[in-house]
Amino acid sequence: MKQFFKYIIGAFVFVIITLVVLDIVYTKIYENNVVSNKVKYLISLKNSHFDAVFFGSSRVDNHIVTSEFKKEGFSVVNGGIQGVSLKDNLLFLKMLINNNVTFERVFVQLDYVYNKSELSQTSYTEILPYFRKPVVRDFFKEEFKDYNNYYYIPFYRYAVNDYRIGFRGVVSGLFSDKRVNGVFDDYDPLYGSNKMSTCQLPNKLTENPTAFNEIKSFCKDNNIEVVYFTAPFCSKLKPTPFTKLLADKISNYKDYSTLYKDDSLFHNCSHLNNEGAVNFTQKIISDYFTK
Amino acid sequence: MLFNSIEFLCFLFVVFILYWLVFKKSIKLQNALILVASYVFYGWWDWRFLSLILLSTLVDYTIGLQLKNTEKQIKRKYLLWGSLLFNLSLLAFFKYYNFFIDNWIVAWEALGITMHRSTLNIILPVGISFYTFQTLSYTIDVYRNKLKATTDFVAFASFVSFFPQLVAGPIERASNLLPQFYKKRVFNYEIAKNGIALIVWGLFKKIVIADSCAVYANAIFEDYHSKDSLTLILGGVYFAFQIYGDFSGYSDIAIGTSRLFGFDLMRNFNYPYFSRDIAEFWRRWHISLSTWFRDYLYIPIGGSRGSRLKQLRNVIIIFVVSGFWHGPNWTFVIWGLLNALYFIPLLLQGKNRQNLDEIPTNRFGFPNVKVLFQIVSTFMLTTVAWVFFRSETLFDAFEYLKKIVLFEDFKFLKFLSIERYAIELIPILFLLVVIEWFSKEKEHPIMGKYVLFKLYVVILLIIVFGVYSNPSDFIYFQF
Repeated sequence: MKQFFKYIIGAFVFVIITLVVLDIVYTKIYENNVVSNKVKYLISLKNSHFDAVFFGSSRVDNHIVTSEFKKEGFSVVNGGIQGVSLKDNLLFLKMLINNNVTFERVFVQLDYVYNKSELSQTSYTEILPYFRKPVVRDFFKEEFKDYNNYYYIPFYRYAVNDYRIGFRGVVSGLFSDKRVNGVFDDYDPLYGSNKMSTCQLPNKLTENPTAFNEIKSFCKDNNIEVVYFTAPFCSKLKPTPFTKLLADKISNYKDYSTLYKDDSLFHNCSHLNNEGAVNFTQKIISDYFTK
Repeated sequence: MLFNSIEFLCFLFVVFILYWLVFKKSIKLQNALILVASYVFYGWWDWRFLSLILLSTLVDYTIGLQLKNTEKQIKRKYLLWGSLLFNLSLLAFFKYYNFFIDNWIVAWEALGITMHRSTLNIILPVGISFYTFQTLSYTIDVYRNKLKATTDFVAFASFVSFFPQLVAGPIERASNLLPQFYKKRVFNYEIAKNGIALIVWGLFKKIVIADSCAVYANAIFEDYHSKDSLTLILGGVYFAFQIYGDFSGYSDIAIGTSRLFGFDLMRNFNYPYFSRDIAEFWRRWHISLSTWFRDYLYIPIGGSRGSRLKQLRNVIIIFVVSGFWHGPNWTFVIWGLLNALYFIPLLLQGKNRQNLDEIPTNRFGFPNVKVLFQIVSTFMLTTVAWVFFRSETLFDAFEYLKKIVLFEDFKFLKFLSIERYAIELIPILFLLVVIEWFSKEKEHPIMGKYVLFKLYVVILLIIVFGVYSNPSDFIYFQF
């Protein structure tokens, strides 16, 4: 029996060592591989100053053309990530501040995301390799029910999110030298114009917009000026009082939802194509960045 | 409690310690511990259904004692029928009630008579098909005087509910398992080590092979309308490996766990996808069920004796019943029937027992072209049958196969655009086939030389390639 227990303990020790080693290896690979996605790009920003940072979902990622700002002499970060929520935006905002990235202003895109307070799986799984950083760890402490598993069990974060940051993610990170968007300027353009289908914003605002309130108070505590805006929709946007309610509630809010009547500027009803994005960026520059 | 869960690991550890360190001096206490542990294990899903196991145990135990105490053949027959009626009624009610009602109504509606639909919201007790067949084997064997009726209720109850194989087999014969509860168990280091290796190999097949394939197979079968031919073919192949990894993985864990407690369960899988014909496949796949049906159904109704017509009838009966055992759906019945159709030509040619020997290989260990062709074609036939097994309805199964045959929109790259394990899965399956091929003379691959090294490699593979984000239940739990 003693021999058997030794055998089991040996296997158990092997499992623990494997978990620890794999955790270290995966983390090192993620930390050191090339900037291959927006999350990685935002994390890579350190000790720098920008005129503005834009946060939002694909409606920022596909809409804010950073090269247009450069032409005008402004430095801007497009922090829009496909499918994320305001909660994710808050996490990335905290990370930038933690990495000593300073900026004059933050732009936050609001639409139906205003009513949502949960983290999106897309971005949080990609940030998990950086879980040991205090700013990320502290953030997830409040968000994860199984925080202790993430904290105490090596490799747990990679195992339970294997479909994004497991073996496949590590291998593709190792062998990929592709920059997001070809030339990495953190803007992800859409081309062409599809058939527009109808779009609709909610009819009312949630009474307790937790994530929005957290962004607001975080910016206030850190003396960051925030501008909220709603990016354009196509002509098929069904009228609802949503943006009017936002405007009534938020003083520094700009509604661009009905800026364009010309649907040829749109890739689909909620996303501008490249031409529309350039146009929209110029509009923002003229509204907020005139020297 | 799932085998691939932390709860089970803790449970197993506690039971193991109590069994060998606290209760090791008394078989009765060890049996009582197994009984309590088995009821806790089962009650973890739904404690209400423990009453069913207990009832089934009490009925068959009592009938066994009655059979022991009576010589009169007519009374013995009544007792046997009582057991059959009770157990099969339980199964029929919990598993097939809605199926029969639905089909009864549909049949009348086909004749233009509308009937009131009164199906019940019945929850299927996990593992009912397995433990029912296990208790039935006891009564039948006692009736046939192949086994002495037990007077030890705890041993009998432990045999019925033995937790390693309670919910998905192997379906043990009373004549094999029950006597092991009377004997003193001595801890054997080599057997226990082998048990651990079998558990680890079973976990590999479940967590790495079956759960990875499940992601693809589910995505393809649930949206087969929009998939091209190659995707559908691969969907079938992935399901074939999913069900193999899932079910044989469960069996390996069950057998390995039993060995830790000094019990020896029957082998349930013997590398079935290396079979050279369908008859050989059924000698290697779900062996405990095939042999159960052979001994308690096929042979009693005549087996391979009598006229050709009777032989054909018997083959069709056994395969259809086997299909229906899996669940109340015509897809399972047709799956069984299809396997019968594959088998019948072999029977008619007298070739159904031609491949009883080891699979021949050349000096490098590879099969020759003929054997390879036989293996691949048998695998293809079983994969076609699996399409029926996996599909929700018969219509879906036929549409799925039709879309393959029509070869619409043949684009390999379209398949590769599926989100995860797009290209990694094919090498993993290839790896499994290679490992199993070169281990086919052994019970499982983690045997022979370098056991510790092989064990650690498999553990590493489980950690790296395992699916933990979306673990799925064992498929055979639903049966």
